[in-house]
Amino acid sequence: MSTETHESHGVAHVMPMKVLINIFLALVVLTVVTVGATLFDFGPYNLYVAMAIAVVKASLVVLYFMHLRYDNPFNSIVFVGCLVFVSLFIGLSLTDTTQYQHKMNNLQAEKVAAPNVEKMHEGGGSHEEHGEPPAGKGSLGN
Amino acid sequence: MTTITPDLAHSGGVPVSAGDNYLTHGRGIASWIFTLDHKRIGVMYLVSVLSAFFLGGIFAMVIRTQLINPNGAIFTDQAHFRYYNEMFTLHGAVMIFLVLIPGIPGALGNFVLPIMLGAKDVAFPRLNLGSYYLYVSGALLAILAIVVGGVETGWTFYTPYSVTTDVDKLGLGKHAVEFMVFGVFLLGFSSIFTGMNFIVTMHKLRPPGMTWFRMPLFLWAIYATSIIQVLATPVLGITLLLLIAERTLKVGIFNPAYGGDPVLFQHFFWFYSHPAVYIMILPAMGIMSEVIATFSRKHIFGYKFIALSSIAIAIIGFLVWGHHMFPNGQSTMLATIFSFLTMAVAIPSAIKVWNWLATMYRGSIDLKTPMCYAMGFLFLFAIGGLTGVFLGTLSVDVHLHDTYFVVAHFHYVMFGGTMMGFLAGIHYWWPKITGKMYNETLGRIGCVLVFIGFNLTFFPQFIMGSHGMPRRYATYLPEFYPYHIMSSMGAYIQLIGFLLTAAYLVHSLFKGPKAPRNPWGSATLEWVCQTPPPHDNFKTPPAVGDPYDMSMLVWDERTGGYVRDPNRQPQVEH
Amino acid sequence: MTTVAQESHEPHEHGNEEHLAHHWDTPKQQFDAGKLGIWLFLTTEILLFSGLFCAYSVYRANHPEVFEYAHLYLNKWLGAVNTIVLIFSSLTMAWGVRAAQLGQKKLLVTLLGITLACGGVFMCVKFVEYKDKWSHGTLWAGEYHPHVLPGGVTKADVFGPGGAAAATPTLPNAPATQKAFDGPIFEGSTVARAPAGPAGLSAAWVEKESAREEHLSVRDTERPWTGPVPKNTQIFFSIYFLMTGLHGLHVLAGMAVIGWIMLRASRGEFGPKYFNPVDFVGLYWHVVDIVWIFLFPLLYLIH
Repeated sequence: MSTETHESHGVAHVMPMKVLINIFLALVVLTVVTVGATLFDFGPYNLYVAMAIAVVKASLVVLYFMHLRYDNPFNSIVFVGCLVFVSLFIGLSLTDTTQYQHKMNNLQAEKVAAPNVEKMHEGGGSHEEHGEPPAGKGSLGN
Repeated sequence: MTTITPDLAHSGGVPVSAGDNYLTHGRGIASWIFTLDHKRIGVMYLVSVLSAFFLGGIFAMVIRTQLINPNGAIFTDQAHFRYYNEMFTLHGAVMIFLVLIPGIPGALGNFVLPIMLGAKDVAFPRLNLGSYYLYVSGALLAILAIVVGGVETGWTFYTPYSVTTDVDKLGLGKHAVEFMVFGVFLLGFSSIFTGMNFIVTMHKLRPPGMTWFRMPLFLWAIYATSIIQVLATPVLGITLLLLIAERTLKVGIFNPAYGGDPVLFQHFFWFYSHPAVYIMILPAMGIMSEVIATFSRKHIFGYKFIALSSIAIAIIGFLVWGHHMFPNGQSTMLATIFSFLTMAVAIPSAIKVWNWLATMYRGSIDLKTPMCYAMGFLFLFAIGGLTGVFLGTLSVDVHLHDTYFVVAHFHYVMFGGTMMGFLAGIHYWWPKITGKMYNETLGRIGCVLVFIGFNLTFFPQFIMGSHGMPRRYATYLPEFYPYHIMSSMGAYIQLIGFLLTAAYLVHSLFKGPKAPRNPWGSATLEWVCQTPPPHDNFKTPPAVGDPYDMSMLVWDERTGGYVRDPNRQPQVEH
Repeated sequence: MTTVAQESHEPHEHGNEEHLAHHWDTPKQQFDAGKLGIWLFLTTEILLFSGLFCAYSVYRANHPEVFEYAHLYLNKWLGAVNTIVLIFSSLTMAWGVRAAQLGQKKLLVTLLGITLACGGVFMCVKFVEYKDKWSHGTLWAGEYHPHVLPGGVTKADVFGPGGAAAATPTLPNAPATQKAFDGPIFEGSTVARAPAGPAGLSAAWVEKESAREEHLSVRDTERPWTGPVPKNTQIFFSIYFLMTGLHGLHVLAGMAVIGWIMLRASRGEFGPKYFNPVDFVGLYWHVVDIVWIFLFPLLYLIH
């Protein structure tokens, strides 16, 4: 079995056996660590610890099993770019939902006030010429 | 004008037999169905996309006819209004997913990109054919949805209505929404594979000497478009799958009855659908760069700015999706952030418009049909883009959201922008694709009719929208009648314009004069190979120079086109 | 990246010409292009899953108690087994690519077979887990009718063998109504905790509950669930089935493609000059593994 580590016939790099086995063992160890970490309570950081270990495992797979370390650098740019957009998507959506969550929880508690039609007729004269104000215009922007 | 004999340098030194081109290479229907030739795939896309455009146009005519009468001219009572909902849903879905998204990349990009690049084909020809068949399958599923029961959710499929509607219908009608949604899913994959193909082609198949900044700007535009296609479309994919799962299995992610969140659907949907509008406009902008430079007979102004602004639009376009959701329950904090970022995305577009104007300044303008469409684009896209700023302003949008102002805005950019660009491109490359010239006078008349009709249709919509006319309504208050009647008249004028365009284009296929190799005098590589191109484009990679240096091309009366001046050497760029 | 790689001195050897498409100049150019293409495709796969990760993040951030409660229904040891199986299959896949590059045909076929088998083991474990969920009634939101509480505590355990007939449960803090077991748990109900050996409890239940307590203390220091059952726990299972279901579909698709590659490998189609499909399918399989690497702690190891 050839153990060459440089270009084989000019097409691509061949991964040495030792590297493959070592990475595999590292991944198994990290899996054990992940499960073992549940024995400890890091408080609010539990999730981050688990994710950090997962990121390390994923990085090992990407760099070595998927060859990215020895590949054309542009492929790495593609991969990292993908992660940037995933973070953007999850980050902004998550921020938004946490921001309006309190409104959802209070929905049953608060009563929705009926629009006060008399008050709308009293105010702003420019609407009068259209007759009745269109329904719903007064209750926007709460 | 001297008579110049065309030299063999144009075909890479190899004389090409006059009769053999991509249309004649291989006969019979099987040679088209199983073709791997990007040019034939491009032609198939063109035919399909234009057919879909007419289908979407029929729905538009129904909508505008309905709105001639304040109480509805076609659908007059509550029982029938759902058909109006189906009309605007299908008009939107067909136009967006079957025409605007695949249109320029699939039809013109596929044909032109490899030749303009100087390559023999795209990187993955079989994947290219696969993209086309995914397009056809998606289109057929969408049509099946129409046939079995119709979809009335709006093209945006907002929850919870899209997961609760029609579930009590009988038979296949119950699944009309799933058919359409899955059809769109397949169309999404068609888009993804096209984008992948183009990115790899531009990275790996450039000939010697073709650096990134020697590529024509149409290719930069396609590259930016492809980035968006690859990054944004999968999120639409998962959104559509979740929608199907909601309807069939009731997974409840977006359904409040099960603890789900309907606004989350909107985040998912618009994360794709906003960048999608840049998929639509960027290729059209690329065509503008080509057409305006060629018909001003002047080097494009600010090449690097235009190239990099395409990439900037692609990236910033991912940061603004919340502006579709301002009054929909989104938090105030995010709404403010998105409003601010929306202002930023206007900047690269403006850079392009100024560069095109600077290109025209002191150029030698030739108002051929493609240039007429380009002028239309500049005028209409500017209006559309500026009205986008109105809508991006948070406080103003509260009043304008879901009114006809929005409808007018997006038609100005999608139709006045993308479709005018598409028409310009079709006319520009028509000689290269078909080998025939169309009638120039009729071309200009068609353009003017469409332009006038378009403005008559959509400008009144800005006004009535700001006065409160809501969108997606089958009837309206009598005060809006003058606007609607003008709008509908404009639609009929557009129809005449399009029918005329279709007529003279089809006529040119049979009776049009033979096109010369380079009728417009452009310096990009697709005009170097013969008209129509041979099966594998170039026998040897062509010589690469500045794609906008037209000084070496002179008019040849004998062939009726431009040829390279044999008395001059090409200028070597840095 | 300016010009195309020119390997002008390398003759076109027999055996690779048939795999070199007409528009490529060299095998390396074709390989590099294919690699870029597959990386772009994997980008789209990751973005496809990102939608589900987004839904997960949103619901977990806003309703952490749902996740902390409902994940107790999952068996983390089965999840860990699946993780190791997939990691091992990634090894055999990467090794297989190396074998293809070195022309080791027999080894390649064997390794691909092992990878395929690992995928099969993964799906079998998945099947066992899904079957469990089905029998417990803990499916996605629309079909969520649990008749056990976490740890497999059943109605009979709580109300005695009489089941519904027992009008007054004999446990302190027992669910106040039968409703806790029927349909989505909207009302607060309390999971019974067993004080040691009070009168009236069935022996089987006491034994089971003590075993469960022991089990929990071995696993972690979290207290067994004692508060009210959170509202909308069905959302966890919707997300669970969506994420593991989509992942499972990708495993099945991967297995099909690996099977096809195995067939081609056994026909001797791959060698040092042309191993592109093995490499690219391998990349896909690694992404499937990576997704599971994240799913495992997110779904099974919440605390």
